[in-house]
Amino acid sequence: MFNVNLGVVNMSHRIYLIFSENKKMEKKAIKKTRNINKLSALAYTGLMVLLWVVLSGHFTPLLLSFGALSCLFVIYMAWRGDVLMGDIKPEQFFLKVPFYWIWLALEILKSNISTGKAIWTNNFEPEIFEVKASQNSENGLANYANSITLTPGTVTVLIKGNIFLVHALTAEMGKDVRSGVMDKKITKMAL
Amino acid sequence: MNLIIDIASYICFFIGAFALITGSLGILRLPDVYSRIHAAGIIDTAAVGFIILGMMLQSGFSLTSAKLALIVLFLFFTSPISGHAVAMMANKFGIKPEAKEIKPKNKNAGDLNG
Repeated sequence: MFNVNLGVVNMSHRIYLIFSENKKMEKKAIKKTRNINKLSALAYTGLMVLLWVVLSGHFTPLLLSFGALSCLFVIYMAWRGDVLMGDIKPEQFFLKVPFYWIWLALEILKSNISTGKAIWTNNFEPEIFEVKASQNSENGLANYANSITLTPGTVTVLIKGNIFLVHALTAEMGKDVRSGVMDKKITKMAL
Repeated sequence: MNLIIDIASYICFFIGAFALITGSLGILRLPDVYSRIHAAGIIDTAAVGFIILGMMLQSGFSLTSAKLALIVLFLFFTSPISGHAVAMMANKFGIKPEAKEIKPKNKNAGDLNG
């Protein structure tokens, strides 16, 4: 009994060794391919620092150093998670996204008014249709689907590839989505 | 100056409350799941937005206002996901919407029900 157990321990140890060697090789291979986009790393750091400053509100040296440490840790995790490779572009948060948000807020206000009107006057004719999204990246597609759902009166029901199934409360709102203004705006943002 | 800000924030609160009532009425009045999500969307965007705008006017230009703005930002990021999740599951379990189906003009747009 004892011997068998020992054998198992030995075996597992050997397997562990082989496994760990493979891991090392894997890590080296990953390090070679994992290249870092400096602009997006800088923008990501800026976002994290901004978020920390807004949420903390304390500016003693001790707490500032804690903040710097936690920001660095988050950047490290983002780097390990392949967020900083340049596919996702956090620098757009400082360049084009604020303007889009202002436009989206106005759009939300408009569609809120028309949806409210449709509810109070009991005058609606729901329709369901498909639209084609022209974004290349998954991030852009998610942004478009979320923007459609965020404006009241239109909901993205199903996503398959770059085709969305959209439910709209009135014919007017359906027309708005099918005209593709929002689609073009998000494609221009190049998220 | 103080009075003007107070009045503006009260107006914002009233608009937010009205949006809440509108959304609740919509949830009761609209015919099926998909349409009711739109009514919930009013509560998620207009009601929350205006009520927090009123709070921001009350707290003035300070860190509290920035935090309130962050609440709105994160809510605007997450609320469409919940709405989409409800719609997607309703579609998955075969609930047919009481809606007019509009076919795409070009046939390359594909067929989602297949």
